[in-house]
Amino acid sequence: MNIRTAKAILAGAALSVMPLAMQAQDEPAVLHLTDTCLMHEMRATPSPSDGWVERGRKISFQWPLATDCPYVDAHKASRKDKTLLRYKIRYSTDKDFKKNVVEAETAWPFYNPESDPAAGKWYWQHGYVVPDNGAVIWSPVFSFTVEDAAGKFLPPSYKELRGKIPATHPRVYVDGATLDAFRSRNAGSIDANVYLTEAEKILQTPMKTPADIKSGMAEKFDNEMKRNQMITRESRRVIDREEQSLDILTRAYILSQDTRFADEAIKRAGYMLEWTDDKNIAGDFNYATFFSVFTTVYDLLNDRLDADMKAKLEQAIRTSGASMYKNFNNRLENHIADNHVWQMTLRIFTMGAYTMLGHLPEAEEWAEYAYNVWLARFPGLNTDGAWHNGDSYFAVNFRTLIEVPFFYSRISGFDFFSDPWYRANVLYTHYAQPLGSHASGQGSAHVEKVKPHATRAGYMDALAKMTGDPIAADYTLGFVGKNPKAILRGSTGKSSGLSWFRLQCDRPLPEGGVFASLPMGYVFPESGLAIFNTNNERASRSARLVFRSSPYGSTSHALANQNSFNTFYAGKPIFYSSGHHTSFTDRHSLLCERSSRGHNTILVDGKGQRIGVEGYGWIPRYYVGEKIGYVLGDASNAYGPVTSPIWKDRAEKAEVPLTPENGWDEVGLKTFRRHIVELGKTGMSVIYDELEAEEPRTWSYLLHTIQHPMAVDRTNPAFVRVTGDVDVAKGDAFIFSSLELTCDTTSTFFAPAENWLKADANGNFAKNPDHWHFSATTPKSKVCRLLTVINSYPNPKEGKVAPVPQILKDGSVKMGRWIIKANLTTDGVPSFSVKNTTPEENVSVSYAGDATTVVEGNNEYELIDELPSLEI
Amino acid sequence: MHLKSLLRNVILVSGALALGTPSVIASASEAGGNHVSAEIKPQHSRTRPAKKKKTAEAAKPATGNKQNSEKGEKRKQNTGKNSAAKNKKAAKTATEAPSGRYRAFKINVPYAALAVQNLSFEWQTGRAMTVDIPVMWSFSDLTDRHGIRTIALQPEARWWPGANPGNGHFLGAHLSAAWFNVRWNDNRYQADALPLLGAGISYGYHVNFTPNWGAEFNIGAGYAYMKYDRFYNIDNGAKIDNGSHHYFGITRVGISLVYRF
Repeated sequence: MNIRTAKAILAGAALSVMPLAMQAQDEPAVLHLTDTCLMHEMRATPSPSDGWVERGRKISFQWPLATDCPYVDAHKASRKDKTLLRYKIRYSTDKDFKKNVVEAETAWPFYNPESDPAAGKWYWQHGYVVPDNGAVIWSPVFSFTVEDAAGKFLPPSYKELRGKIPATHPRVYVDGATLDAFRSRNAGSIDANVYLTEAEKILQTPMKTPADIKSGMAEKFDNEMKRNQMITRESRRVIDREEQSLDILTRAYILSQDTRFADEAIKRAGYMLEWTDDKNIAGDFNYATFFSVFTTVYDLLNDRLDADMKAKLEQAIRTSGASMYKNFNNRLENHIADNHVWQMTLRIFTMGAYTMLGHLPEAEEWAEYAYNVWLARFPGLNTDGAWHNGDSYFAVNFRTLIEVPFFYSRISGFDFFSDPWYRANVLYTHYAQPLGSHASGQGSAHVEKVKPHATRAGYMDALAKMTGDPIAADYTLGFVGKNPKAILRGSTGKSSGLSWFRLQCDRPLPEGGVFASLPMGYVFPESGLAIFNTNNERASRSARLVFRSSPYGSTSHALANQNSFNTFYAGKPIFYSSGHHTSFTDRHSLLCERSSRGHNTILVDGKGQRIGVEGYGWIPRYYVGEKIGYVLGDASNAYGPVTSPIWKDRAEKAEVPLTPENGWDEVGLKTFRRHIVELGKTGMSVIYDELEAEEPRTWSYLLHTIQHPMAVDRTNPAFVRVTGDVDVAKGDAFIFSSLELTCDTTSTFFAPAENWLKADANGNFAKNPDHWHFSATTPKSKVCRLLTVINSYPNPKEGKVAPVPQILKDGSVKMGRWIIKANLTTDGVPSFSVKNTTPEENVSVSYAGDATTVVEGNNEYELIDELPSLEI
Repeated sequence: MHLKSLLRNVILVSGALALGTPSVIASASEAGGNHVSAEIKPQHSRTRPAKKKKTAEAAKPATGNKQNSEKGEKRKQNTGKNSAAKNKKAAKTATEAPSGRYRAFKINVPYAALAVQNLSFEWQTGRAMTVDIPVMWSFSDLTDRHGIRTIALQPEARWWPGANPGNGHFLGAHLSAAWFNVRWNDNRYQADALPLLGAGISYGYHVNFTPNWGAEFNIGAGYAYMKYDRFYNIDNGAKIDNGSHHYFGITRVGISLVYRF
């Protein structure tokens, strides 16, 4: 090659990359979202969305119900009678659908192809069949691309699975073909002993009956919602107890072949057949419980049932199963996350449906639906592995998350745990509540979750065995320590007990030993969660910060806590979400636990974030390195009056007005972006808030503690120091503002935390303790910038004090080895920088209204906004 | 399948007499047997494409370090140039007629048929002596759950009784070294830090079809020792335990196509 040729090539190359470089320069760093919501209570978007590229899993086509479809006027096809609903789906490599077309008709608004479409570009559309004339209202044509990728999750079709279902029993709750091996493998095991010991006790314990339900406790309420909640809770106390007894007796029989257990179980099931219409029993869980009891007996004790009992069970199963299926189909699959169904009742329905195949004709449709809705929506409802509904209610899904895929895997031979969601969920399960730590506090009912429950370790044990994940193994081993029986607490429980799974699973627990090498944090952008731990091995030495800004908003068990953070040291919650889960909807739970005023975020003119999917936040940027972490949350769209029909209806029924007086109003918020910089593993964090409204507003910075009152120190004019105390450790928040701050602390909830629902077995109502609430409020201003330095640390040794920020001559703040600069004025662009001053360290984060620059060692990143992949 | 029988199969399939043993494999990170921490990379969200990952080094003005780096680069380029010159010369030589001393490239056909790529070079070192250096490698799986990934070396010294290397009977003594990563049903076995090591003796026969082309048949037996880690046979499967194995038996097998030059 001569020099002239080389120059020509270089010039060509330069010209070819110029448009790319220009495009990069033009790309906006900040995305201002205008969407009313990012997620919908009921699906409003097609999946795969137009232009989607699928690399990870088998395609599943899903679309809105006729009544929810924003892009087609399909109301003519909507019907109250679900059995009349029909849909068309077609896909092809030809956008005109003239060749190579696959077309199907379905009774549900989703379709899972028997085999994955071949790699390449595809076009698809769905249609609503008008029942009156059979005409089809077609959607626009959407395209998607299938890419070949190693390790793609390609589960079998229902047809393949159906062909492998054994005709004999037991077949669902245990594999009847390998019973001898099952019994010999488990002889003497601690899990088997739980069943056998408990079964002996049950034989000596009389049944409770619907007459034991304290339905009278509901009579004191004028409010119908409260009456229903009380009667549901009290009836579950009896029904769940008897369900668990039946579970234990049937399984004890399978383990021991002791007919006393089987006979007692059949006798009790016979009694329960008479309860299904009892007026003292209310709530969807109870009806699912009957279905569970009857199908469990049918599968596990089939050889002990006479024809009469079988017929009675079949009749009861037919009735309750039909009711569940009617409730599920054409609703569940499109619902953002129907709590009770995903928690337990779909699992119960699935197991029951497969039990009744060959016995009830309708079970064919039930089983096909149960399998396909699992493929379409579960297990994660998104892919990042986190549980958007909060860490506390996550636990009630454990059995479903393990037992359903375990059953499908055993029958089909396909490994359903190879779904990448499970490995991601291991990370969530650890980071959200490390061993020895309080729950992260990002959903309702978190206050009492002081330590990980044994069932959480049981869940990690199952994940370790089924996925081979060493983090899950570490978690299990760390929890169990030298006492293998530690894992048994709650292990036969309805929602999360996994003893029966452990008896069925013959895989060993893999080695762990990886906790020490886990990263200092992890971000789950779809769920809107970022978590930093300074020590993943030992909670006693770990400072934690958990941040939420979620596209799911505040629906289901998720709270109106966008851009809020919780801090911990030694597993103890320092600045933490306040409020009690007095019930799903009542005055306290809506106005304190769910409302933004209960969380470590910002109120605008004293008003909080919307309840519902409309009150959303999101995480546009993040970075987790070895020496620094960074996350940006955006809650600019979260504030305003509640517009969600479902939440307005709930509040009305609970007689709690969602009014300005109670904390919801239009505030004209333009920007609420919260930047958090985690200063390596020091336990220190820097928070920079950029706030702006259309009109001057007050801005209230909130902090809460749940164990002890906070100490507020204003002796240094440069900042307000708020200290939280958790006995073994403390946490400081140093708040800087150019606006004058008016501080207030109180231990009084906005609405009293009256425990009106949760009585113990003797009918006593424990008192909910106070929490403490701090606010620092500015005068009215259109713009507000706040800087907070957080430090979480163990109690200083005698004669030592915790570090306090130093204000340097140039106005910057020095904390430890870090220099922090920030624009706290109401003028100019929002900006801050955080830099480590250690000579050998090259670590910094800086921002000036555009991209965020993160430098760590030799690497520099310019982070710009990225909307996570969301749909429904 | 029992580990012992699995390893025996692996040996016969891949290694060939070469070693009869499992063989190798790719880097641990590729195989996914490492601690999970290795796979949880530092996270970051979207970056500006034009500045996706700029190294601070590159942004710095020219420093002493950078100059050193440039020197190193220059040296490397020089080395490359020399190497290219040598290759050119070798290519020219390869087109010429076979020389008087025995030199040959060989491919072990059954291995190649089993997707174990291999190439051997043998050259005469004395009146009745040659040295044979076969290299075997395989980087692909057979099925989703079965695969033999290996890199194996099995140098052998050969004595030709008729003092006519490249023709007739020969006896050899060989050493074996193999890195392996074998997935089979529920488990994956991966060589410890130490590769499989072994030694053995062999017998073979060489027949010529033309001045350039011929065939070689050989078989050998000996000993091999391996230490391995056992993992779940899934992507990034966790380690279950470790073990070791003393192997006695067939360590080399070959039916090779020979090109002599």
